[in-house]
Amino acid sequence: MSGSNFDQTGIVPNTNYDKTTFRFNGEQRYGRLTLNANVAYSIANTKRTLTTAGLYSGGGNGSMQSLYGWPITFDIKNYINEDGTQNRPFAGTLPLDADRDNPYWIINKDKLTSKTNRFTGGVNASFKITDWWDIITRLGYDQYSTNDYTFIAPGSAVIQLYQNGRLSKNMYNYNYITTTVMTNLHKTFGNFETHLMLGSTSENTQISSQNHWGYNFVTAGTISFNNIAQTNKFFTDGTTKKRLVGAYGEAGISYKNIAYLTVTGRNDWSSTLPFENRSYFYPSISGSLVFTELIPKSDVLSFGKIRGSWAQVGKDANAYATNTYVNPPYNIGSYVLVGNQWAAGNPKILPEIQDSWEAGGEFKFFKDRIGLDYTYYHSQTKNQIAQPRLAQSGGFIFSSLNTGSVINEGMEIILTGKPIVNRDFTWDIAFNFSYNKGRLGKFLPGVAYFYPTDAQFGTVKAASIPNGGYFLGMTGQPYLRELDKDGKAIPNGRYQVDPTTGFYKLNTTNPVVGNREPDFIGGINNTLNYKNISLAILLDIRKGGDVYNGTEYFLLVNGLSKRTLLNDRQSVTVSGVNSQTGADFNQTYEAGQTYTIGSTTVAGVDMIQRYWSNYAANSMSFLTTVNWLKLRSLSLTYDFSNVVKNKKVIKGISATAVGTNLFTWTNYKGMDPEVSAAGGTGGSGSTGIDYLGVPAVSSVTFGLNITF
Amino acid sequence: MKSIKFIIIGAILLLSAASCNKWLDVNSDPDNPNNTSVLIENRLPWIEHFYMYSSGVANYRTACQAGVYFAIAAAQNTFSTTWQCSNANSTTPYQTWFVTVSSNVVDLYNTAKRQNAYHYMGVANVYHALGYMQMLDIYGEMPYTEAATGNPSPKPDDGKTIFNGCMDKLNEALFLFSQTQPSNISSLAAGDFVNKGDVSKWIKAAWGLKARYFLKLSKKSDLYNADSILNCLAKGPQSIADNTMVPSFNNSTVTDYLLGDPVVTNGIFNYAAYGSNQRIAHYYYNLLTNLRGAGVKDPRMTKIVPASMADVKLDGNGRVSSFKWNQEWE
Repeated sequence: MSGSNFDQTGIVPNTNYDKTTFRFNGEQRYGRLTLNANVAYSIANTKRTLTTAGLYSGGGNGSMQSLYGWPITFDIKNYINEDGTQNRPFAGTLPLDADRDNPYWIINKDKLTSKTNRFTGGVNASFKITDWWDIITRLGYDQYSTNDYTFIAPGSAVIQLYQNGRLSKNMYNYNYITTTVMTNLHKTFGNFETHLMLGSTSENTQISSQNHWGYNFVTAGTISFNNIAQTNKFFTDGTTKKRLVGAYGEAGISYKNIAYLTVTGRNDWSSTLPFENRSYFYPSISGSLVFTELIPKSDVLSFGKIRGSWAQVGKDANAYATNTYVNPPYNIGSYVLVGNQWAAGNPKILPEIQDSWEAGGEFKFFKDRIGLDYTYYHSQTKNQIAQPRLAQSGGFIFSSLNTGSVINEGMEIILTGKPIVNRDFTWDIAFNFSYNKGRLGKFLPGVAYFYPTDAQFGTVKAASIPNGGYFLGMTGQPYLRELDKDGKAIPNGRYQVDPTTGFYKLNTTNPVVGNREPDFIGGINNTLNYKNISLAILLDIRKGGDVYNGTEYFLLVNGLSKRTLLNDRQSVTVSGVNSQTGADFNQTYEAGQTYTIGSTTVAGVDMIQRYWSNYAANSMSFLTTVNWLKLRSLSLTYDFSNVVKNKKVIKGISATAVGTNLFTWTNYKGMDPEVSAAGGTGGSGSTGIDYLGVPAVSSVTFGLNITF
Repeated sequence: MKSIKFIIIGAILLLSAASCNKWLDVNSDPDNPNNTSVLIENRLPWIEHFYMYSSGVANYRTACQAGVYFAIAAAQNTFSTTWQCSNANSTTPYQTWFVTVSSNVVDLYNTAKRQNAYHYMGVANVYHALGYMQMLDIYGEMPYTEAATGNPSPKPDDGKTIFNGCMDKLNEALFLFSQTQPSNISSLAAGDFVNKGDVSKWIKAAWGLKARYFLKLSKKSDLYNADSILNCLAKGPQSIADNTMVPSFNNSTVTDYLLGDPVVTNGIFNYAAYGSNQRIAHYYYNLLTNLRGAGVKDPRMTKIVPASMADVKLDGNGRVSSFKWNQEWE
């Protein structure tokens, strides 16, 4: 039985996470029957806040968004007036709904919390029918309920409808039950060992949610739905049910400890697919050979194994993807209006099958002093289920479709060594190196880019490019470069300048500007032990992979980026080729002068500001191909156990100091390049896009471990 | 004996397979009706209402391109100092028609057909023509035959296909309006807030549309037929009483389906006249307020000339309760 508690304050003030867990594990044997039960119960409380943006369709902004953009001439801590209203520097000129909330207003006045109670449990029973045949049954249960509470204070800079406060309570219940029955047979024929396993599983998922929300508190000081008029309170219900039945088998044979061969097959029936496509089968085969057993013993190569496998895995769709549903009704006069949602159903959806093969080997040299593990893999999905943004002339914005294939291929190498093995001092070292190439294969005909996620920040969009293009790609708008005689852009040539604006011309055809996937990643892990001291150092390496610095973009368009201090904001220079005539274009715009653009006269300071708008519009201004070397963790442990003479009460003591994410050496000029922007929903997410987030932290932990 | 064992095993397997299928039959959302079960009298007012946003925004933005209106505010888009009407044309008129209305027109037609609700089918056809002809006018070749049914990448059709398709739909509508609906299904009046179920007004509206659409062929000497246009006009609305007039509701609780319009009313007023970012060209302003120097004000002026509203106050239910006009007249 065990219990634990974890309590952590966030680096944004007034944010917090604490979790308490209880666990129980028990096992009991009754002759041939073994029963095992485990139960865990946890309660987690989160105090959170808005960071990157305000609530959807409500106006307003997030605390980090406001923090990054706050004008440096105003005292940001002075957020509240004596009468309790927000102190807004632009109160005279900007109405509340066009203004921005002070971050201290958001973290002190708004209240956003989550509370999750989770119960998981399982009962296993295994029964040995004979010594070569046993049967196992399992029952698993996972249930959690989350209560979300969101209160936006009256007087916040949100749309007019919500300026008198807004309250939302969401109750989300998740229930998951799984049952498994498996039977195992094994038999040995001479040097061959065989086994056969047959089983079946059922999974039942049920999610129910209720949301109550309302706005406009009538009497100041009370935050409750009872203080909201009947016409301003709304509630919705949601239910999701998903069920799956699977039947599977595995057969294997092995010869001594030298060769192994395993074959599996599984068939699933899912509730989320239409009836005629509901069942899908996926097999696999794998084998390995310890070839060092077949060759004379060698001191150099003490162990060698090669392995290979091919497997298919099937996957079903989300629940309710087969029908088109409608919106909640509207009332106009005495008429009731009902219309379609913007997600179309797909009554012909097929399951997705992923096909992958892998080959590799494991080798040990010099009596296990050096080890090498190598794997190469290739995996490809067929009928990949996705929800691409459709051509809206189809009548809808989204639909769950079998869109094409996603291909991943790569390699992993692990090299371990024990350079020093002495009685008092040992040094273990491990290198790992891996790369993955993610590509989008065939896709829906006519779709140029697939946007698997909503992540669109600054001028870039996270996109996957069909027909062999990057899966973790980015599209954006770069400057246009000079064209050669054949009309092709000269790589790294001069930029085109639009004479009608006086600034660089942008390529607005949305080309691919980067790939967020790294070229390779690797690590070095060193563990040194000297008598009672143990030191572990983990280094993390990455080469390649583009990151878009959307935070710098945001600072720049708000005039807060140091880049805009160029020439003390007194002059900027545009040089390139005239996009219409091809002639050289070289122009410096100075504050205090005026310039004629087309038929308008523009002041120099205006031209300088327009220069920076033009600079911000160029996606390449904020893209970096990032390499990094991180000191990922450093830990030092000292075992004091021999200080304790009498081992009757305290059997052991050790002290540990651990630092994580201590140093980062990188060419990225923003904050920690290990980023993913908030708000990229679904798909490959928004990894590689830095936008007004809370950066990663370094931390140091001290611990004491006492064994009784 | 053996065969009985197999029969029993077979029966158990069959039974478990059947009950297994029943156990897996849970893929219908119990909280949201799906589109095949929507009643025709609920589907039609949705189309009638949301079409007004599409026509309103299309009218306003094309008038902006024609130099009738101007946008004056630096938009939230930091890369432009004035709003580019021509860029904006590719978004809202297209989205408000295709995503909000077009799939509902298809579903209304199909559901009404199953019940022999001829009048509903006819009105669906009229809106079909209104919407696709508007798309044709603004964009030229557009998806038509493959549109509105969930196709992720419908191919465009040429102008001839769209024009002829819409005219066929109008002809079918005229035929359907002449039929009598069965008495046991909802009458047109239950769902039609535009003409309140008056079929004769819809007939006149359809003839009027045919006349207007035939005028599109005026530059094609082999297809243009002045007599048939006059013939259509003779069957179209003849007086104000015959007009199809869309009523406006000062409701302001419903926010538009895809956008954030605050006031439930005339689509054109919503886009053109309500707001502080647009101005009308002085030439047109004079035409509306002082035509030929006669000092006569067009009664529609306040719904066409933009006026910025100041001090907009919403009541407890989010409806506009009071505001001030910043305007040059009165």
